[in-house]
Amino acid sequence: MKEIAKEIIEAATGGDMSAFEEIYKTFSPMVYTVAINITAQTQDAEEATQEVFVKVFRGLKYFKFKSSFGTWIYRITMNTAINIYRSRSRRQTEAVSYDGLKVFEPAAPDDSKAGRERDHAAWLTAKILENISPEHRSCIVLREIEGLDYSEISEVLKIPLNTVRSRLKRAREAMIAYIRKEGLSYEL
Amino acid sequence: MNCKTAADLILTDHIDGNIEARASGELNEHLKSCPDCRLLAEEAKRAGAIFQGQARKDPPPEVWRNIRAEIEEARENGYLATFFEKMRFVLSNLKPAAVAIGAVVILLVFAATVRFTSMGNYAEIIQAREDVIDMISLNGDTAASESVPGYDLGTPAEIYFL
Repeated sequence: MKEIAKEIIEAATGGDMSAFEEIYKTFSPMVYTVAINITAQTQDAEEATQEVFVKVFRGLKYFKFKSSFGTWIYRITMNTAINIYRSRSRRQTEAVSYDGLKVFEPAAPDDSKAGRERDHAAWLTAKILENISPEHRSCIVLREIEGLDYSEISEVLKIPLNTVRSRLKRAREAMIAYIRKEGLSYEL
Repeated sequence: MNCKTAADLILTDHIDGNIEARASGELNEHLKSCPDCRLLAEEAKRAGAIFQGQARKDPPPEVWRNIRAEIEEARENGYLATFFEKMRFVLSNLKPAAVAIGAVVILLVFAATVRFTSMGNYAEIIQAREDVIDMISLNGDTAASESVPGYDLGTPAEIYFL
């Protein structure tokens, strides 16, 4: 898990915007990537990233270094992204159509074999994640994409280790069932 | 090992590299003789591999500009928002004991207020009665007002009928 020097956090807490920008540069790729995988929308991921860092800035004075800074940011990110995803899902069920929503697509087309494989993996990841619940999705994103271990996931999501384990199991069962059902290919 | 236990291990500790040596040995033995669990193990591995190539993505530059603008705006409009923010933080972090103490204090203040208000009302009633007595005495019927001193609210008509 990524971390940052305590002095930078303290400087940002005192209102130093360049120190806060340092925090943003360190953690924004993580926040944005997690948010994309939870919300499956680039617009929502941008909104989530913005909201997360505003919350982080406002909450800095209350951060007492009891947990790691990275864990704290992961927690804020998960809660924010899941809330945005849920509220968008509610809006979508209430409305007939939504124009202008950019569904996440792999960014730059890359014609090399490795590039095409990466695009296929990104597309498949988005498809699979879309079909599991936000609770299971958050566990699988933290484990598979962010590489957190069970105890780190437990700390971020504030759930017991056994729950982490059972959610990962259910998420993987759901992923495999979905791939079987849709006849999707693991490889390009 | 049965298939249920094997599936449980395959989808968690085995794939995540947390499996203990003994359980790993038992699982491998089971996999040798169970094609369904072998298939599950293979699929779980391949499903996990999909995520491995995922690179971190940077948010677009306007996200930082928006964050900066929002923070600066909040700073300019600051103090009231900060006060409510602090209150929200304090309330959201109140411990049950603090809530109980707060509730007791509120009850005591409420009880004291009610008591003082009641005493005020009682004094007003007494004063009103005395005013009535004075008014009667101003009517000039001294016999009526003096016959039962203090709380006698009698009038000439009542005296007539009595």
